[in-house]
Amino acid sequence: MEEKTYVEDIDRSLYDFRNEDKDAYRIQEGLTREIVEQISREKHDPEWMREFRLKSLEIYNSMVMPQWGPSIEGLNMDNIVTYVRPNTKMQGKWEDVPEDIKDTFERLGIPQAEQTSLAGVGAQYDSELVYHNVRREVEEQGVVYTDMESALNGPYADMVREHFMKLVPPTDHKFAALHGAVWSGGSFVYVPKGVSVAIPLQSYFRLNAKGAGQFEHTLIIVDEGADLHFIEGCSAPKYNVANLHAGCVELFIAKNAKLRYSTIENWSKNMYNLNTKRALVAEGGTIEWVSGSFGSHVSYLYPMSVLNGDGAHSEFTGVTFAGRDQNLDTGCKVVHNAPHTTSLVNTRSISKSGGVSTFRSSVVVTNKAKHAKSSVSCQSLMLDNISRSDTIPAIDVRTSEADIGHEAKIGRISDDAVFYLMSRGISEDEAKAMIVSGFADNVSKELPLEYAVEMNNLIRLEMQGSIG
Amino acid sequence: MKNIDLIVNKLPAPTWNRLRMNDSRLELAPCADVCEPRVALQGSVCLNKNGAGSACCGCATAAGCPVHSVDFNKIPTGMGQDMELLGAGRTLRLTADAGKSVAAITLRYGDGQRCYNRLQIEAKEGSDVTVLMTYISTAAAAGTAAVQTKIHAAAGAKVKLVQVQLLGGGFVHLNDVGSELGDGARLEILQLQLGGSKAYNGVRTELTGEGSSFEAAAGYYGRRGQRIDMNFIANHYGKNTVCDMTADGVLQSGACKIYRGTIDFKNGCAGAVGDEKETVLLLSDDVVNQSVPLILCSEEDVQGNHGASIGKLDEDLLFYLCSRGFSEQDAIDMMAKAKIEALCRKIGDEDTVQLVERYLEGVIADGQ
Repeated sequence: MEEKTYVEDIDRSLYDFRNEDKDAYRIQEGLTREIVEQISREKHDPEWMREFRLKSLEIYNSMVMPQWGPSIEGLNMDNIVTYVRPNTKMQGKWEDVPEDIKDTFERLGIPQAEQTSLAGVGAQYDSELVYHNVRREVEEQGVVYTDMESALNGPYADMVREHFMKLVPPTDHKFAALHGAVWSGGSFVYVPKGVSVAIPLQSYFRLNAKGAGQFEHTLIIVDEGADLHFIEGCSAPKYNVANLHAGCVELFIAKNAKLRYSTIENWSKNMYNLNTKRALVAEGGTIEWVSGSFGSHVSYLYPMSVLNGDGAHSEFTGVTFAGRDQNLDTGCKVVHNAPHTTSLVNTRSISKSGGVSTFRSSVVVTNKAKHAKSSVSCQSLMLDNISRSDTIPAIDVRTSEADIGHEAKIGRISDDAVFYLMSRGISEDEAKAMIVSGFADNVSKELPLEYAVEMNNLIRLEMQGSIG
Repeated sequence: MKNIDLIVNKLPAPTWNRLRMNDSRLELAPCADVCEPRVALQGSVCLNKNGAGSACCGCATAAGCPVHSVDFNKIPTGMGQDMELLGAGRTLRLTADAGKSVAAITLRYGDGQRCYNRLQIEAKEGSDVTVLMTYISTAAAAGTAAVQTKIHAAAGAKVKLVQVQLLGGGFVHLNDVGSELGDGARLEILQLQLGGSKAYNGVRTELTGEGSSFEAAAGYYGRRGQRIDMNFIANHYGKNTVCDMTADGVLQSGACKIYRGTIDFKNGCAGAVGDEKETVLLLSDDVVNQSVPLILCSEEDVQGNHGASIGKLDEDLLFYLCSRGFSEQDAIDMMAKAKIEALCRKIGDEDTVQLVERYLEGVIADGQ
């Protein structure tokens, strides 16, 4: 008779520590016109942004909740604090960051990563960035990496206005409208023509405040022929009330430019992660998404690539690991809207301990996209009988001059593979952890080494268990 | 009489509304006409022309007129509950006893007719029944041809259902199928959708019996702005159940097709295997192809696979055929025709095959 492995839930002590709330300013709970106006005042918005926020609020109030994904009934906007300013201004040196916040990021390994493998770092704590720094040699190349507020009021104000929520308009969906109304924090990056940034930039988002929302906005413009790797990380301690993340990422990739956008998402399991990410890719440009989703109670996350120029290319490589109390609805969208555009989608999802993992995608090929090619591959692994794994891909092709392929597989860990590893002296839970790590290697091999190690550690933590 | 608004072919797990794939909506004039089916029976099968309990005829079963024990109202269908809005329709009931049998049913529609026919097939233990349904009209005819077929296959029963739709260019065709399979039962469905202006087709199978299996093969040739709208659902409840669904088709000259295919592994269906495969040949630049192949799973010990391939004719193959003396158009026509003919070979009735081949010649000429 086969023995069954019971896989324990994750030990999240690495991410679950929390600091006492010592914020300088916390807006009242809920979402009203007064609250939005107050956020705008606190952030010293230009007038156009104040109006933009109020218009977004109107749109939010006019839109219905999504009817197609996981339940978000546990999220009550009346209980969410949309703006929490930490007790510090943004600093350019770690020494100047308050001790408790600095300790948080040190425990998460951010300063060490900055020293060893990053060209620049932004660290957001609740609603504001508390630290931002970029290496001098990168700055000398003309690369701009700053917080959104500085960009909005500084020399790049026109560029921000020209691009801000143009790719993800507030009318896109209810939580895009919410973001438009209450956004705060995030990063602005501009890479000039022909500049190749050799090592990655990283933004790390930490939400410490109980019952709060984080609404950071990331705007990246990679100019003609330029090349950048941007890494995004996020985590939060667990509370017994709902927290909300409704960030927005807008990426503009110019002619022949290339951007790799990597994310290791590890929000706590009380988090509603309703994030929107979108890239517009011009002629010959490339967007590469590398995405690991491990945290959150509920996720709606579908990075979208709009291939708008001849020969534009997108790749999406993702892994989702849904454990107990998690319903992670993830995937991607691709729009082929120009000739010779190509896309590759390669995802893995793993469900265990009652977790629900859904892969959802859409590939749309318009009539302009002659000679477009797309290949989608998604594989799902079920680790027990109380979990759930769904695959919901959609394909819409409107030209005969396209070549579209799709494949999906679902199954469980092969008994033969486990038996083989056990016959080599490896314990059953270790064998299963190895197989799951291997299953997810499509993502880990695309990450810089340090992040790949972190991702494999996360998988190992998720898989820790005992024979029972 | 007022028109009827229907929402049909709902996706079991909805996706983004903006894609307009979650369901299909249509408005129909009431189906008040009667289309009298022509039925030919062979072997141990019995017919009740007006549903369960009506006088039976053509019975060659050992027990004479059958005792009806299956409640067909409980069997859900692929197009969904809204089909009930079309009214009671005209119900035929076929009961197949143990042994081999064949029922050939022809529905010939007149121009302007709007009809709703229902067929209930009860395949008793040990039966092996083939039901061949053909929907025909003249080429220029218009109307509504709505047909609902429900199948109950008892333990060990084998049912083969062949549905061939060769309607005129003005017809709206609604083809709704629901089935429930007992232990070790097998259902094979073969469908060819070649005519009509709009063809809606929903097939839902409940694989409740252990070791039951379901095979579906659908073929279509869409042209001249036709809409082909499909919804295939296989619900695996029983252990070691198997489904294999394929859809093969050709689209040209403004045709629009949506294929929804769902394999749903319910908790408890350990050992189940589900495969789904779709290929679409796109022959002109004004077509719309939509596909939503779902795999839903709440059981660990299963294997599910889906594959889709959508595109134009392989250029190397086209070049090869042209180098052998075919004109480009002839080569394309030949390959398109081959897709349908491959399914034709599985029909198993020579008269029907010839009927399809004649119709197909017209379809290809029509699409050019």
